[in-house]
Amino acid sequence: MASKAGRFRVMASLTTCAGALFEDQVFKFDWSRSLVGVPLAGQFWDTPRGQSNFILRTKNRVLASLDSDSGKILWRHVLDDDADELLDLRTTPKLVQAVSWHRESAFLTFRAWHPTTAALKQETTAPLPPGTRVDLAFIHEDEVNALTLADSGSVTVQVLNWRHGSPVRTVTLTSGSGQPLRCIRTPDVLVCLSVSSAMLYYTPLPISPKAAFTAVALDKIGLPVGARPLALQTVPGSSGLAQIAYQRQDREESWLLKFDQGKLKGGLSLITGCEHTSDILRLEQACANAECSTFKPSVKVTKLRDFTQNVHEMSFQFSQDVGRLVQAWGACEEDERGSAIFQLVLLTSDGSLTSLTPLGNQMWTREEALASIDKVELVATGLDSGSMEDEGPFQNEATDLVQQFAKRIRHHLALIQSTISHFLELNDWRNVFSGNQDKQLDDFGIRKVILAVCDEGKIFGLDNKNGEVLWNVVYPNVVGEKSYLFIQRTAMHFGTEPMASLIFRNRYSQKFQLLTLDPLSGAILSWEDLKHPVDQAVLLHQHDDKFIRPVLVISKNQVDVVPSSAKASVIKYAEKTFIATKDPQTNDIQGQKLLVNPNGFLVLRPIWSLANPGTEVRKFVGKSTEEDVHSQGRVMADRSVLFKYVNPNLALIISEGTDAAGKLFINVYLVDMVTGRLIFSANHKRVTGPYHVVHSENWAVYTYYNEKSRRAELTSLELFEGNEQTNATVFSSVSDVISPLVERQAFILGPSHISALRDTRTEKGITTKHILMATKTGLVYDIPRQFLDPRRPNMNTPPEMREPGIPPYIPELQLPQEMIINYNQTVGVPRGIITAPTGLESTSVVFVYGLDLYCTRVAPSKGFDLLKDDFDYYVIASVLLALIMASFITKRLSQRKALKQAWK
Amino acid sequence: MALVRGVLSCLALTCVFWSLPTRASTNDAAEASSPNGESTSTFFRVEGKVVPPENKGTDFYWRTRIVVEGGKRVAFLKEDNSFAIHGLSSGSYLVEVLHPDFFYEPVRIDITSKGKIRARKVNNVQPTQVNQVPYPLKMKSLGRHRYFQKREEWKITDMLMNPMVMMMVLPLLLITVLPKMVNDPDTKKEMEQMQQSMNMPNQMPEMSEMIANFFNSGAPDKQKRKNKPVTRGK
Repeated sequence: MASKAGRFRVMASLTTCAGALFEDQVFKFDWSRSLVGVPLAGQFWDTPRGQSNFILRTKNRVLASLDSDSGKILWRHVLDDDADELLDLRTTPKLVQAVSWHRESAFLTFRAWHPTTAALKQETTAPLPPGTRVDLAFIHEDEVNALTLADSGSVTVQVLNWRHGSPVRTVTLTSGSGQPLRCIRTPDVLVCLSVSSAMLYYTPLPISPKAAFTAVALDKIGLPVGARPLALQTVPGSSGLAQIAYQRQDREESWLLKFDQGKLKGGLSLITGCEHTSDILRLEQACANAECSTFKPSVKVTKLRDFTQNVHEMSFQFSQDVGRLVQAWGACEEDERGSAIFQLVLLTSDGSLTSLTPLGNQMWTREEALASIDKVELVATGLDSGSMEDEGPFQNEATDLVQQFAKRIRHHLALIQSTISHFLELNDWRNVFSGNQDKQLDDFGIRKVILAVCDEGKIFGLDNKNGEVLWNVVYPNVVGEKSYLFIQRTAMHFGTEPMASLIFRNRYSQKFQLLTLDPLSGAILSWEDLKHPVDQAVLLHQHDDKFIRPVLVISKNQVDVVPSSAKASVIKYAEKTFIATKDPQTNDIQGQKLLVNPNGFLVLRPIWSLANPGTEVRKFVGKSTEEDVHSQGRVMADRSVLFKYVNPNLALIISEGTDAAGKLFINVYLVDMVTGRLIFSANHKRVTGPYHVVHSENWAVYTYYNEKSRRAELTSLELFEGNEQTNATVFSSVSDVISPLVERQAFILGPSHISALRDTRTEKGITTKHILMATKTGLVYDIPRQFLDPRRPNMNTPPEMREPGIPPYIPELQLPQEMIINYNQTVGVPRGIITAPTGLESTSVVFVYGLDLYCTRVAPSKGFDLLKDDFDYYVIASVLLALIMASFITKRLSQRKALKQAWK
Repeated sequence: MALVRGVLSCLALTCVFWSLPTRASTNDAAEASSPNGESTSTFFRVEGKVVPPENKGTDFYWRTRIVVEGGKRVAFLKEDNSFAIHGLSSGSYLVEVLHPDFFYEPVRIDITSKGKIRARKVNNVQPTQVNQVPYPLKMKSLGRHRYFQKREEWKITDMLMNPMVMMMVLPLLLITVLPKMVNDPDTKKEMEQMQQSMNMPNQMPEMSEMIANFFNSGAPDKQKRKNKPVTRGK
């Protein structure tokens, strides 16, 4: 009975505290963008009504159908996590067929869907012997061919029945070249290329038990002398065509191969074909300048009949950077006069899709690189009036007093000027009314630029208000793994432009490079090579005299400062700079101190180390350097104050290991990164990842999956100094002798698979914190921190002993559906959440990314500094007006009456 | 035999089985062995049906996702709203039916190494508790998701039931309505007399006068001065 009453109370308080949405707020502050990912293959499919859809499979294991007129997603299926990327896609008039390969369990899945409703028509699994590798699979007639390419140059083909998945035959084709092959298939030929020996091997389909390769040297079929073959590609929409991309004198060209009835017939350079009319669309790309550095290729499309006759010509110039043309798909149709009309869909190396009409007009574009965001930051635009940041103690103190004053005056003058120009621009008064609210919100610093670095080497600046692409920069295939993105200077400093820097490893040269750009405009400030390979890069929290926060680039024992001009300020604070690094070999965590050696170089000296024998560090989470902690303690029920242990140098470490029984376990540590002092440690047995950590103020929250109970759990830690505070003004790790009280509690989560965890951030830290939790199924929960408070009292605690505002402890966290901030805008495969404070203390901007993007705002303590958004301006205004009117009228009346009375 | 069973359960006969909760669930067709005859790791198939809500819309087939362990394995809806999850080895799996607008309860599926399948309710607090549900699965929506809070609507009853309003309205009613409800002519007369005696001039302060006094209280002299020349002129 008692528990029931308790539960009711929890629910009641939950509904009042959760920042639930009202239905009319849908799309008021938020937007979402559905993506499919960068396509690997696509096909046009004509609907019975004569429209055409573009069905494609992508790198993100997505099968989708786009409306070819508008580029909108008609349907989308996200396939299994444990499958490799989709191996083949085939459309027939009634079906969309796909083959996927599950490497771990070693089986192929054949699936077929209805092309318009996307309902499943057939699903078959075909298990292969364990340990089999499948490099390529394709559907041919009623059979699926699964190919294993051996390094010795032989190809093993397992032919399986499409309907039942049963094996039909196994054929081994040998090239005898002793070199690894790359294979593709055209509708009726299997073609393999040996790059190193420049030989081509092909065999007609279906592969019979006695099939063998026909070999031909590349120079025999007319490939130019000196050409170095790169890859073998299919020609979409064609029958019997394949092309070889080759490099000659630093230019990439391609050579077309034509197969007729399984025989190689000839060659021509081109890209796509028209199946219906047996015409070929030949695409030639040219760059604006010789180095191709602008990435704005112009495409010349020539339509050829029978290889030679030129039927139609069109050219198109990309208006923005897209990289290089990678693939093109054409949908061709014959009109009455016999000249075919066609639509082109172009894939460029930046991951964007562009659709063209025969006249070279752009129909639609899709930025599919956004489906694979690697690094993301929210950058304040600094357009609001109150955004001049307090320069703080790092400013050169006494010297620049006059200069600072002058600067402030200039800043305010500039603001006045911009305000006036803004009003002058508002000629149309309708704009003022319709756009009123937006302008008002800009004043509160809610406008952010989402700086997103994508896997395809494209960097975007998105507007957080509506998801519009403000700018983009293309470095196709350049930005590689192990990258770091830092905001070195915000837009809050008047007179300087903001600065973001990206440290990455170039995919071609394998060198580490530094790219500096202005996150608001996308302008590249610099692009340079770094001297040493990067082990780790750290953004320091103090800034130099130009307000740039320096980045320390650590490579072995070498420390470089980026930008190098900030070295003086780094040396100034070197005494106080401590860095924790992870040794990649021993897996130890080392605390190091920054030193200036006699030669003037910066070096690191180890101070402490934390060994993790038998375990591997999975998470290493410090506190955000930009965070403010507003209150120092908490007032208890007996009016005493429990002071928080706010150590800014604390980090939470999760290391994972395997115990004697072969089960995974984790160790959790709280370590002071300056002294290496271990403040807390815990152990969880039989748990697996993914682990997610939020570490902020004096508390930390982490989630993991409990293997034994098969559920996701969340542990909450909170640290307190006690009833007395040792030093109220400044915290020093060196003189820290407090052993904090660590409160902890664990909770059971309803959703079993968590994919991201983040706390909300506000400007001054006055607003209570909420935890944002994205589940793998695409829901984003907004959980008040107080429900994760590790001091939730026992159910049996009498009411007078309980602290107000903290609900009693129940193991399972009840997450009502009102807590889902993205309502039915489910985010496909979420991977991360990022939050940023705004100029309004109550509000925090939230950006969730994954396959889809979703951006919104949350107000954890409700909008206490904002008018409610259902505030009735009209009623208030009309009541006020009516009162004023009434008072004037009655005044007049009373005067009249007084006059009359005087006459009496 | 197993194959026949599997085929049967695909057919309409399944509803008969579903209505028998005690029916021991049996394995479905374990998939074929390798061409050499040596048995590969066996896979099992879990079947079920989603009961679509009314007015499900044409996008129901792709908006509804059937995910195992959060997406590790997925299944797709067929046109008859049935689904089958292929390629599962023995173990315990969480099966969820997800739709942005409709809510379905998740189910935990246990597959023994022999391929016996049972379905039970998900109980995160007591994971060992078995609360069996019929297999093949029949996923029925528990209704629409309630993502939104209701806005407080302005209602006339809310205003009328306000104690302040009641305190003001009730006496007003007593004063205005009660006298009219009296039918007896004698009492009527009496009351009229009373009213007449009460209705002495200037006994009730007039509203307009009150407000005028209120507004003009700052400048009473002005009014006097204004009045004076008028009387003199007369």
